[in-house]
Amino acid sequence: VPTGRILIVEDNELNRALYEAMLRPEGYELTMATTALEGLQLAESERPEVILMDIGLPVIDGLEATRRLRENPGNRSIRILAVSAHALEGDRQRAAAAGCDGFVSKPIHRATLLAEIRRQLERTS
Amino acid sequence: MSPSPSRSPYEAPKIATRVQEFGLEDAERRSLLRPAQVEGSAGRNALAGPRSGPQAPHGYGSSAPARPWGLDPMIGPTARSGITALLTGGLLLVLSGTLWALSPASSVGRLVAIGGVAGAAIVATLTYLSLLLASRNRERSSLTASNRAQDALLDSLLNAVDAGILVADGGGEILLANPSAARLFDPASGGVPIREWSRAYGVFQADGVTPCRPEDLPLARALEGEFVDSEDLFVRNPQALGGRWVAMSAKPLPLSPAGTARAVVVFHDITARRLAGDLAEAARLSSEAASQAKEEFLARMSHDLRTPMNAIIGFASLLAEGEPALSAEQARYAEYILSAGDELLTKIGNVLDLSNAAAGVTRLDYHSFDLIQALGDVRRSFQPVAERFSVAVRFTGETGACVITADELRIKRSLAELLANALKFSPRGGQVTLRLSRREPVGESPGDDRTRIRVTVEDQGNGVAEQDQERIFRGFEPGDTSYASLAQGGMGVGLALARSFVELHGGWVWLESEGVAGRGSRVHLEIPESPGSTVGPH
Repeated sequence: VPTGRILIVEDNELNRALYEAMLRPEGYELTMATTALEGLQLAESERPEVILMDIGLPVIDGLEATRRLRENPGNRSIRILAVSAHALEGDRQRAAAAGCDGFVSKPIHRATLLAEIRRQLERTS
Repeated sequence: MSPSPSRSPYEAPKIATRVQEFGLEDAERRSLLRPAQVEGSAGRNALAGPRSGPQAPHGYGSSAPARPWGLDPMIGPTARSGITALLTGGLLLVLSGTLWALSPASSVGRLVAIGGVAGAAIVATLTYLSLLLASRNRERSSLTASNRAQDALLDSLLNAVDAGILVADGGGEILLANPSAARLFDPASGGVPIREWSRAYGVFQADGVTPCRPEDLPLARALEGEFVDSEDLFVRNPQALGGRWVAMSAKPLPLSPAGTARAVVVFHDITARRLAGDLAEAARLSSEAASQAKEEFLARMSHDLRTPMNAIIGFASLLAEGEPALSAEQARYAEYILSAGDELLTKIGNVLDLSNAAAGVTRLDYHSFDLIQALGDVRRSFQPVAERFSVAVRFTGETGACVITADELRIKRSLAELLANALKFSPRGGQVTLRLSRREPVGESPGDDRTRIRVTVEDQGNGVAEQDQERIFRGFEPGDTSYASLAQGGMGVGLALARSFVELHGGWVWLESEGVAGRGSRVHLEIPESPGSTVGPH
């Protein structure tokens, strides 16, 4: 059973429940944040291995949150997966430019998500 | 607004000022002014006396009234005194000669006669001198006449030009102001110290609100010896309440005989141009803002519609995958939710894409790719559908590579919509043909010398009647909300999207069909090989 601490930054309640349903059975330790600011605080306190960062967050979007997180060199080892509902062509490049390590587009397919998380965890170890 | 015959000529400049404030064209202004000038100011000129009307500049020129040429009154008095002296001298000489002849030698009579001759000589000298003076006067007077002719010419010139011309001295006294200048800078209120000019005459910087600093005033700088070249300023004062923008130049003039600095200011009214520019700028900004607002709205809409779809599709897929374990029937229902969810998501995407294209906020991502390979990708992605419908998809035409520069994803999307449409209307066991051809520019489309690539998707369905051939490319039919039309609407969105994507590339999608069952239809997609100069990357 793979283990790992995952921080999920997602403002939509149903989508947070979906992550729970997809990831909890896999044995991951999940922490939920509903805003970018909360996500930044939890990233410092919980030291997750992977962050699932929704791009379309209100006030501070996921890309800006990623940039702020990357300003601290101590957070360099955290793998950040951008999650986008826009499916715009430029999103993938913008996420990479902001400092994300991977990209998942909504609607999320469980198999794709699990494979991407596993890939990121392998890279950290 | 034509002046009444009894109108005083002095009202003409008031009309001029008012007309100009209303922003009428110069030609109109002139035509409005002409009757008043003809009737009231014939023979009057702007260089005439300082109080010959408000239009006349202050303190400029002599007040000598016009006189008929050839009768120079300056000659008169001298000539008359010369003639009188000549007659007096002659009379004296005759009297002296008579006296000399009648008087005995060395008598008192002879002495008197000698005196008479001497008197005559003096008179003759005086006559000569007076005649000399008269001729000098005549010369000077003809010089004055030519000066006056020049003045008249200069005067009509100053009256005629639209540019404002103003001469002032270091004391702020306005020495000359032509009518155009007098409209903004009232000569009657001259004598304002130069330092006070900006405030007194209401001179502002080109932004229209920041007062022009006294030392920045072109006149002040020219009085200091500087040449000022065409600076935009704004003038608002009681004479121009609406304010006027002017392009103002100023140059120093030679010192006055009394040694005071003088400068000439020339300005053009650029208000109309300024306002036109402002309007164009405002239109540009508002169109940019509108476009940005539309883009933001559509992005938000896209996000808001897709977010709940993620939960619907995600949970349905978990259930369909058997987590938790469901009965066969429950699992089938979960599949239905999933399938409907996917369809809904695709439609949301289509509508948003179409809206983006219609709102002009779609940005094409141009790069070079092989169209034949792209067509192959699209064809493969439809393989399962084609098999389900028992329709064969065949490719003919160009072989090898056909590299074009376009937005690959959107071109693939367009091709997919065309192929989906063809499959949907193909009979079982039918065939869909994809054909690729190059269209050389010769005579095909005037004004465009680019090679165009055409992809034709041909099916064997019932075709489309001529009257419906354009309708199927519309996302919806305005004004037609019948249920039948709404039900058919779903068909059109894909084709409408394909057409709008291709149109963004400077190409077109259209349908050709006889509307005969079995003869099917041919949908053509044609795009320029590269964006070229007429359609650049957005």
